[in-house]
Amino acid sequence: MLSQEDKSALERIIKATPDRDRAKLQQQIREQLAKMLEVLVERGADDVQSSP
Amino acid sequence: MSRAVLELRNIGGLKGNTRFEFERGRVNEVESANAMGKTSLIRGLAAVLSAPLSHDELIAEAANQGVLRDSLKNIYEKDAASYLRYDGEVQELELRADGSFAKLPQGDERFLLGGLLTPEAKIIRQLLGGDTDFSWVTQRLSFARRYAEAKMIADSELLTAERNLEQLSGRQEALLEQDKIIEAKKAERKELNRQRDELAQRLDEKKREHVERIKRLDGEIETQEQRLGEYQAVARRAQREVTRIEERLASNAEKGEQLANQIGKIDVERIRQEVIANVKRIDDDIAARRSEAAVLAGKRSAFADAKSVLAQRGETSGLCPVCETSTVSVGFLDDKLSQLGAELRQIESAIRDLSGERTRWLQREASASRQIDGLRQELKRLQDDNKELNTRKLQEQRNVQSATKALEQASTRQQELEGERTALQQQTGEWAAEIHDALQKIEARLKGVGDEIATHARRIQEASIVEVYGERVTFEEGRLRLGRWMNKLNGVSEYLDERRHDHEVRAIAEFNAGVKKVMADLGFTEFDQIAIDKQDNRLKVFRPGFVPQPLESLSTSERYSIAIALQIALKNTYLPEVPFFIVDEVVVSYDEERKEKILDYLGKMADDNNLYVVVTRLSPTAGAELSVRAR
Repeated sequence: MLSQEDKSALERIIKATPDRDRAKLQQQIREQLAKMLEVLVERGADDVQSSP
Repeated sequence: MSRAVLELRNIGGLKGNTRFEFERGRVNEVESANAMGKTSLIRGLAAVLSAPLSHDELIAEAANQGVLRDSLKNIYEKDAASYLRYDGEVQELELRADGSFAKLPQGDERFLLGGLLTPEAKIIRQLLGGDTDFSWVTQRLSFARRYAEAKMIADSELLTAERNLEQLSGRQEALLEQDKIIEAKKAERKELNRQRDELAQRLDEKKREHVERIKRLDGEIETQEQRLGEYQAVARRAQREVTRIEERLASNAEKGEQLANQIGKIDVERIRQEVIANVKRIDDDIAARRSEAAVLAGKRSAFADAKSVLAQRGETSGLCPVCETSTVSVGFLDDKLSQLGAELRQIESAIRDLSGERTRWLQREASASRQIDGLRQELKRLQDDNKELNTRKLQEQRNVQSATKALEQASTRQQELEGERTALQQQTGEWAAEIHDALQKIEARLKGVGDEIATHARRIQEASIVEVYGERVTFEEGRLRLGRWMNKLNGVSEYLDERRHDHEVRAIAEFNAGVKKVMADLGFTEFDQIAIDKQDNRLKVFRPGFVPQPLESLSTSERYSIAIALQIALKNTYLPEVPFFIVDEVVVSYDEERKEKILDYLGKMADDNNLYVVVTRLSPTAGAELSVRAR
């Protein structure tokens, strides 16, 4: 469901972002989700291209 | 020794600019008499450490603690500010006259819960109020909050994806609806085509039927015309025949009259008398001539005899053998014989003429009789002819009447047929126009349906391509991508939720351990355990022997003791990175021994953790100025 890479990225953001900077946390989480989506779309396109 | 400098302008009761310094690793005691601005100082410091605020719960806490912007500003001044500099960091908070922020620091709103213990602090309020619900500790202070925050974002994205999918589903339903519409339109078109074909077939059948009926009527009309011609011919012929018969009758009448006149003119008796008279005359004449001929014949016989005698005698002349008195010669005899022969022939000729005349006389009578007979016969024949002619005339007149009647009937029938033909043509025109109108309507509707089908097909084609996360893809691909993305987001959400739970449990455990240590360090032996229950996030207090004690039954002093222990544990557990810890007025509630013990502990805590610990103390003996003294 969720790769170790994804989990690690989420953990890094949550641990490293200063707690006082809630907006930054939200922003970084959103950016991480956007990256996941980008990977998913690219992989999805590859899946479509490679599907019989 | 590093110092933190706090500069305030028009904060609370502190009008104008005031400046305070705090030493790191020490307990900084703020001392003054009442109403000298201790609370304003604490609020100015807490505000610049906690702003900006975002969570409703913490905004409410700020309101309770009096650090919201409206509570901060001096009521007589237009603006206010709080500047904090420490360890190279500068946090600035400025309030405009309208209450808006001109500058905002980068504080940590959790400080209001974890680093600030005032008489109005949440811990104090709950302990005094007997409220054991400390779920906010994990929800607002631990990493669990970050995971929950991150999960909220993932859930928000998931919700967006679900909405996008719902929109796609809605579009799919719309597409299915369009498909249904197209199917319905196609069915309508099929039905219209069927109706059109049926109408066209009906039109053809009607036309054929019309043509056949017209043809039949034309045939009947032609037949009637022929009949009319025939009847007219018959009538004319019969009329001509009547005329001819009448002419013949007239002619016969004239002839009859002539015959009657002729018959009347022939006097048979007179003719008979004339015949008798002439026959008698002729008979007499013949008799006379025969007598004369007999005489002559006798003479000729005598002369012939004489001649024969002379011949027998061989004499050429001699005594007349007949008369025997005279001499006669053969020549003479021959002459005589010739003369007599001539005379006899004349007489015979005359007799023949007379006989002929007699015959003619006799024939004249017969002829007259025959003529009369003939005339009578002729008259009779005329009469017979007239009779026949009259019969025929009557017949022909009947024929004329019959033909005229038939002519009238045929003419009437022809008019009827013509009328029928005209009516048929009119009817045919009417229903043909109706069918043509219906066909035109169907054709128009067919065109409309065709256009509608094309429109819906175009819509389907247009709707089949969707934009999913910035890419134009097919509908199915869009659904697949959204499905994959939702699966991914669900995974993220589940993972973050698991992590949130882990942190809640762990943070509570750490917090409880911290409380236990603080209790032990402070020598609070009156309790066996003060801890937040992991299951229900409720604060449980146990007396020695692990006897639970309700908060309501605790003394105020005990509640304040528990409050300071909890607040220190909160600070150490959840806000280790914030170098400030504030205790306002609370220590006044403790007895001197415990107060000192707590201050010593706070001093050790400040030293161990390199913190700026700020404690306010009411000091009736203090001077008029607000002073900060490192302990």
